[in-house]
Amino acid sequence: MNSPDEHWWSVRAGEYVLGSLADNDLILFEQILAHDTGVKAEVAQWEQRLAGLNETTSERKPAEHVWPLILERVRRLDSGSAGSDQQQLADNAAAEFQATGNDVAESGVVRPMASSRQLQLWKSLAGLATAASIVLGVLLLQQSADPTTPPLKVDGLAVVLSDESGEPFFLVETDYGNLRVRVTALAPPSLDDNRDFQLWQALPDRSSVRPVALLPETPGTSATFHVDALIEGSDLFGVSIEPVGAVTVRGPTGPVVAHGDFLKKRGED
Amino acid sequence: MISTTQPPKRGSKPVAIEHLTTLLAQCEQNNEMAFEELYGLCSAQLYGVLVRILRIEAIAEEALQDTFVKIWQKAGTYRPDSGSPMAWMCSVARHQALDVLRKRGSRESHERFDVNGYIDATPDLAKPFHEMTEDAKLLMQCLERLPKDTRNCIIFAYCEGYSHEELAAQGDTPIGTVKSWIRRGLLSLRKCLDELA
Repeated sequence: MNSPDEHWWSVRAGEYVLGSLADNDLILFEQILAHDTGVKAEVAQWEQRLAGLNETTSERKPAEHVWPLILERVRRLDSGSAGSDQQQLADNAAAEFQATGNDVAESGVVRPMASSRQLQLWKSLAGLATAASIVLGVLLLQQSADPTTPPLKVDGLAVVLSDESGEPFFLVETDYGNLRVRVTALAPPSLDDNRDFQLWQALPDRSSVRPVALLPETPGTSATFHVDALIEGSDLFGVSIEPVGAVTVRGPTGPVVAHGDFLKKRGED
Repeated sequence: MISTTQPPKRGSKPVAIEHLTTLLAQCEQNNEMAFEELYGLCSAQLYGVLVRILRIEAIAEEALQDTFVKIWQKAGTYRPDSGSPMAWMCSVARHQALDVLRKRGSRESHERFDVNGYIDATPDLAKPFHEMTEDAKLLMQCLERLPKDTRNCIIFAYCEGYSHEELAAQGDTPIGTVKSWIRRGLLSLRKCLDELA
């Protein structure tokens, strides 16, 4: 979480604490929250800022029968026989991530492109792969592991979504000014040892794609890449499964497992 | 700014933050007596928060159970530098209530407060201003500086658990406008609190 996105993240964190984030906005935010300490800190600050509102609420004494029920439940938990409680917690978590809705487009947070249309696009782009590579030439990539690299100045942000469940696999943050991309693995699917995830960026007219980088696979890990170019005006990324070890430049050769467009476009408030 | 005592309650003595912090630490050690004392000190406040959002007592009672089970399980994750114990427990309760609301879908109309459009939601002051913590006083001052519609949206969302849709319906206002109010209001609130702190 870096400036100039700081305000954007702060407002999202405030909305999360208010409880007004909903549906896909909420799912995406919680996925990012689970991995981003900066966002966690923003949420903690908003919890603290707004806590005073709880003092406007009158106390209300609960019925006498409530305490024995709570005590029974925690005793069952502690004795290890709390299957129902554990199941309930699991159900709660599952339900949170199963929420769906049509609010996404309206919210302006995730700009819409129907999942089926996106999948169709990526399939067609994969089909054009060889021709596209001839036109585009080879994009050389340098993957940077230099710890002295200055902080990423995020000026665009994308979350790449899975095509089926909508569960975010990767968070993609772009620094157009310094030609860098940071990718955080959120919850990618498991991968065979001889396969890698590869990130692609679509041209603005979505006629073809350019390779960006091979991606980290372990949930919670991030990698920052220097790239020779980021495509101005492009707002769509995709992830395909490719043979291990080297960036494929001719377009996706394996299945496209995830795609998504910008949460926040450059220059947007 | 963290005050040294919890807000005084009507008819009850102020609860020292240090004492609640100690009780939470003892809960982490599976100390049931500490848990019972914590329940005695905090359940009325948390239940008030839950009833205000959920409206139906039976549902709020269930949510109170879930809240205290989570407090028992997560007591070790409480960090004093991130806010007061009561604020942390209220946060657990609010998230529990919001989870319940999301699973139930939208509230029935009879479960909503009967307000004609946007009432001035300078909140249901449960205690006189002078009895509030310093943090709460600052928040109230900053809320007062917001435009009325913006203030109402933030207060209804936080205190009543209103969704964007409910806020829009309540005020007969486009949902996009409600979202803009909230986002601008949060930024203004943050700026004001930073200035006054």
